[in-house]
Amino acid sequence: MAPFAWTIRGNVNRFFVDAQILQYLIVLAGLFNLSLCLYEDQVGKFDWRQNYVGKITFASFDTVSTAKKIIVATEENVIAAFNLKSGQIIWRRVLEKGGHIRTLGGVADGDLISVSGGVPAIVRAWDLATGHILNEWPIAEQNTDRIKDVKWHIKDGTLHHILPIYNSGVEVTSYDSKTGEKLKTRRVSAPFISQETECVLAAPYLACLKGDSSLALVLLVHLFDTNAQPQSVTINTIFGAGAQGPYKLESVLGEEPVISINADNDQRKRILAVIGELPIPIQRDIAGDATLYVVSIDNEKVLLETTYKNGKIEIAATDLSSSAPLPDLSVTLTHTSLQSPTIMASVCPRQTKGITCRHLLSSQDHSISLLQHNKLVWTREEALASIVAVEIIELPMSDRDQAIETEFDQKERDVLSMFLRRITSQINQAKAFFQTILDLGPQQSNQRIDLVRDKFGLHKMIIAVTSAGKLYGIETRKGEIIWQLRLPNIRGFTKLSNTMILYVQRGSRHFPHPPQCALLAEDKETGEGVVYTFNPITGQPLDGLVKLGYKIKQSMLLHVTTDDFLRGILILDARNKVHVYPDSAIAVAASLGKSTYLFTADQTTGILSGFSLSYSTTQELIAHKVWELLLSPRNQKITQVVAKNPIERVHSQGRVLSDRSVLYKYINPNLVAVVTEGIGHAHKNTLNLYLLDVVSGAMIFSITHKRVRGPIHIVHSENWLVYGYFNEKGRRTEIATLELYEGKIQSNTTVFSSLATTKLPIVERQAFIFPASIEYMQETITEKGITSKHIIVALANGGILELPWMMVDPRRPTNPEMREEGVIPYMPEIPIHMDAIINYNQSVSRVMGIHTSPSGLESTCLVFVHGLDLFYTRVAPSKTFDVLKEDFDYYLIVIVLAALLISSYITKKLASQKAQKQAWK
Amino acid sequence: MTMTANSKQSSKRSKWALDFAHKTKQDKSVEIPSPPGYTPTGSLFHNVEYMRESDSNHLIIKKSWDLALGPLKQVPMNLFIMYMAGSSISIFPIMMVGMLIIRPVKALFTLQQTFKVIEGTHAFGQKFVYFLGQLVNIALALYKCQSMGLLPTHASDWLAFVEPQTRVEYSGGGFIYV
Amino acid sequence: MKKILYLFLIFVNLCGQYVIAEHEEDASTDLYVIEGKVFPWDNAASSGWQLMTHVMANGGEHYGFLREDGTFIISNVPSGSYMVEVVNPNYVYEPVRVEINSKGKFRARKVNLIQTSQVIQVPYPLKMRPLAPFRYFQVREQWRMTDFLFNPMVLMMVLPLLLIMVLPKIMNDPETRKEMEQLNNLTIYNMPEMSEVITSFLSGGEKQKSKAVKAAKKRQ
Repeated sequence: MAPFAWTIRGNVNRFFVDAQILQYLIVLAGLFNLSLCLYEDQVGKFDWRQNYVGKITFASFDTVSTAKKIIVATEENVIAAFNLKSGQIIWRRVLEKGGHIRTLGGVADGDLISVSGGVPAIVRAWDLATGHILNEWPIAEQNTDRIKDVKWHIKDGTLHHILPIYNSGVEVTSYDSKTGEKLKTRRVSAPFISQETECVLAAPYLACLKGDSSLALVLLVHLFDTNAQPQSVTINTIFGAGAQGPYKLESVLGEEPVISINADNDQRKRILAVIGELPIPIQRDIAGDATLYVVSIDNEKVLLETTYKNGKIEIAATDLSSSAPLPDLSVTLTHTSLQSPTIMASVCPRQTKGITCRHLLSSQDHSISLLQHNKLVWTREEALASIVAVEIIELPMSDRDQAIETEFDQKERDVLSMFLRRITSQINQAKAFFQTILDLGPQQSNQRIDLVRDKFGLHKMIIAVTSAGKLYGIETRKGEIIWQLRLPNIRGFTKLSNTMILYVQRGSRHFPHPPQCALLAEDKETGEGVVYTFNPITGQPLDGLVKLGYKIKQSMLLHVTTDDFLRGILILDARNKVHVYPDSAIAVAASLGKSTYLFTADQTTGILSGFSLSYSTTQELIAHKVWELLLSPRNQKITQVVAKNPIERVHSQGRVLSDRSVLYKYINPNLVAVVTEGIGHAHKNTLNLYLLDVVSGAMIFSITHKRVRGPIHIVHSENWLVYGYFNEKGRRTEIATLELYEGKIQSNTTVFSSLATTKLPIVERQAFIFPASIEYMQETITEKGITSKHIIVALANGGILELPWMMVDPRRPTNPEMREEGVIPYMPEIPIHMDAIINYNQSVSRVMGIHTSPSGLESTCLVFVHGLDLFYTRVAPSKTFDVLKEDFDYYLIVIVLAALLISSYITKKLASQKAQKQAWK
Repeated sequence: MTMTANSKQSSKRSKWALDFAHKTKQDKSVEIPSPPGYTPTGSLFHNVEYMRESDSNHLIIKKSWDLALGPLKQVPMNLFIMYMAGSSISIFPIMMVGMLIIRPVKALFTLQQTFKVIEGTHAFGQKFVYFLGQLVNIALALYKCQSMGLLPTHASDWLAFVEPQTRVEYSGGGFIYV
Repeated sequence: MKKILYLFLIFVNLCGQYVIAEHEEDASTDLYVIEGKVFPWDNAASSGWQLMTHVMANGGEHYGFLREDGTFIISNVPSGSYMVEVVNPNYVYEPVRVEINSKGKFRARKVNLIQTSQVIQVPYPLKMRPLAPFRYFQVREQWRMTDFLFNPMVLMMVLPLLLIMVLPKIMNDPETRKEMEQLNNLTIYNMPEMSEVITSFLSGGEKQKSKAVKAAKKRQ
């Protein structure tokens, strides 16, 4: 080494540099050991999963196989079997996304046949007990545009495809349901069928309503008997005189051919039952909103009418032909969970102690329950399969801690009163303490003992808003539903694919003000905006449902709170006028006018506009358009507009390069990514990505990808963007990253103003191959932004991957001469490590969204994944650097310390004895 | 001259003893070179006295200059230590660099003590030179720190203190709802 | 004449459009069926593995479900290239790329995302075997005695300690002392040789040197 150094002077520097490289390599090798995974004993400790199926469309009780269960098919294209007693899912088959189950049947004969899909449909035969598929065959469809009118009937192992042909008759094609062999095609003549007749299937009849006035006719065609003639019944025979149109025909669920006709604007209905091949109208008025079901008990047909009024469910049982009421089968029930339930399936076996009827109820808010003779055995909240908005909120502190906090409420007080306050609160605390010790006195808290904030802020409340208009509060520890709220008559915004907007106006840190959340939605009838405010911890409404009286175009949460810590919501209505909710926040909003900007993006016209509130006064808020951008809708369609998370903080303002200089990040909080897809023949399969500053309207960057197909998933955070797409040319999923930098010097060290930036940032970009298909992507977020960011990717195979951002860093060098800290060399494929899958073997199907939230610890982020299933866990992207590890061996350290102390003491003694002995010699 | 008197008695004692002191005529003829460093001058007595005085002064000053130049003499030794220690960040180099810094700093603090014994005309100059020498040592140690990358001379070392930029404008919005 | 020409032109135009339309119709989809068999892992016979597993084409565009013997079909598949993978939460299966060309010919090959045109053929109908079980968890670090003993810091501290404690005891023992002395003698015995050689070498040199000096002085 010495001769090497002394002979060639110039290489001394090189030597030092080499030594540095070695040092970095060692550091890097250490970094590569970044395992992000769990230990096997941590399974289930802080994560949970819940499986759902969705809103039921078809259901039947399986009485044939040995284990009694309920088979359902849902709107989400899922077929599942529930355990009769507990309501747990025995097996579940998730079919294609976006498909439709057209019918499910054959359970009574011991098979399970489902027809699903578009054109052509796929018929699948399933094994009832185990859920395996027995056979699958496609059914060809001649008239693809009449798929909606096709009706299906499954009986005795045969699938009948029934299509009414206009002006001629009904075409019935029969197939063997298991093998798909076409058995026969028959055409039944029914010349009255035209485009205006409304036909429903009441097997084995097809009932059609012809005409609308009092001369209307109900015509019944027997589909399987070639010799039979269509029978007709006039409306007057059914209703008597005095019935008004419009009439509506419906098939009554159940085994028997019964139809119901609504009249008088849905005020009342009557039944037409076909008993012994003759249509017999039942002369009894039934309430218009009652739902009907026909069940057969001991070969007698019983009609069950379900009505719902003010929370009370009433099921009235009457004999079908004689209309005699059967009071022992009738049920009255009051339950908060069900709203306007419909009986989807019913079975009434005769047992030794009489007839016990079991009804499977499906209510309008998607929940499923099993009713067994006056008692609800179980309920399932299936609305959670279609969550549209999620927020995760901190729990409040316990009452005792809150009382302590009131001492610090920052109001001016003199010393004496503060002192007295302290004394009184401590006396109260002592009293409470003795009470709990000696177990005297009532526990006067109306909150659950365990619903308080824990030491590290990991126990939070998830607020889930579902498309059925139901809100749930789910606590994060075990996934238990704490409260439910139902909002009648609201729906999501139609242009936003039926999502609703949820804002957190006040958190739970400001005792005594209660935490407040606001939900923005549309009224079902008028389409005008409504605001619903509620307390997210208890589920109680605060101001209730407020009808705004105008249509909401856009909304934004103010960033400054009012005096009682409430953040107002700025609402831009369809006429470009600005309102604030609540009205008391108008002063704050006006004071912020000069620095507040709103932007809107319209998908149909392709116009993006920016509004400023700088002309607002305390009396009136005025939105003034300051910029407009047109992305021509003739060749591109805006598909996504993605902004950054508003609670995000960026800790480090730059990146350290290998020569110890700093590359400063371009962190523009007003930057929005606009994704458009090309339409039309010339621009098909093109993806455009624009980075737009929404305050100044300036386009910071734009990039086009050709031969690329959606769906595009995009993550926008700090100074980078990560987006995934499907590359048509290579037929693989790719992930591309963009990172924005200001350069080696900061243009303004103190303040960032979108209106003052003149220099465009430097953009680093890179693309990688991703070996799985992406369903959704979201980045982790922490309170201070010190922890590294990982991207949570939901894969199509049910796994959720935690991908470190370092792997998609665009500055990964292709030829590493000088390696930097935290940068690994470029490899085209991103490996999916098995231990980075955070939901181990708990697959989550059809992920629609991932919500991440910071926790009290800087190192931990809470992740909530929703879709068809719910999954919740914690991730620690930089490992838990701010807490001791779980298996920290306290005992070992204490023992070693004690042993060392003792041994040092003993040796000191021995040494002094020895010295003494020596001195005496 | 006093030496010749003594030597007459000693010359009769041993047979083989050589008589260095007596100058006989025989001896005078033989030219014995004088030992190196010996200057046969007459005023030895005075010189010794003077030299003793000036010697002691001279010696003292020499000694104190030695003390003052001590640190500078340590510079090559320190250079060698620096080179040997290496520039990685591990226990040995850090210990060495620590020693290199702490020693001159400590010496600087005990400057007064070390120079307490020294007085004389050159005292201030010597103190100054000593001080300079220690400073040179410290500078060397700092250079070693710099080459190891320990000194915060680059922008990246102050990155942790850079405050995030405050926002002036706030924005919100997205797709229109209706 | 002109009229006939006119009509002829119009006719040709219309025909042309008709032909184009037909061409588009011809390019439309014939639907095919992808078949194959999935083999379970070793001891999975009765655990309902067919329920936990399903086959996915192109990331969820089409699904195939398993029959009791593990065979599956994916129906209604238009021609094109598909990545067929078996989804099971516990075992990894390798994906296969199935290409159906417009004439209905099937070709199955291994998936290579980087070199997409590489063809390593795989038998069709597909036979998917499990590669490995998923290893989701990391083993906890166990604290072993060896970690503590072989820690270099510990060795550096403990060995000198042992030596310090053990050596005096050895020294006290007379026999070992004799042995140590013998050892020392041995070593000392070697040393003089070396030093003598060096001194003789140097003194020889010096003699020569002193001779040279003397000569120089004489010359003076």
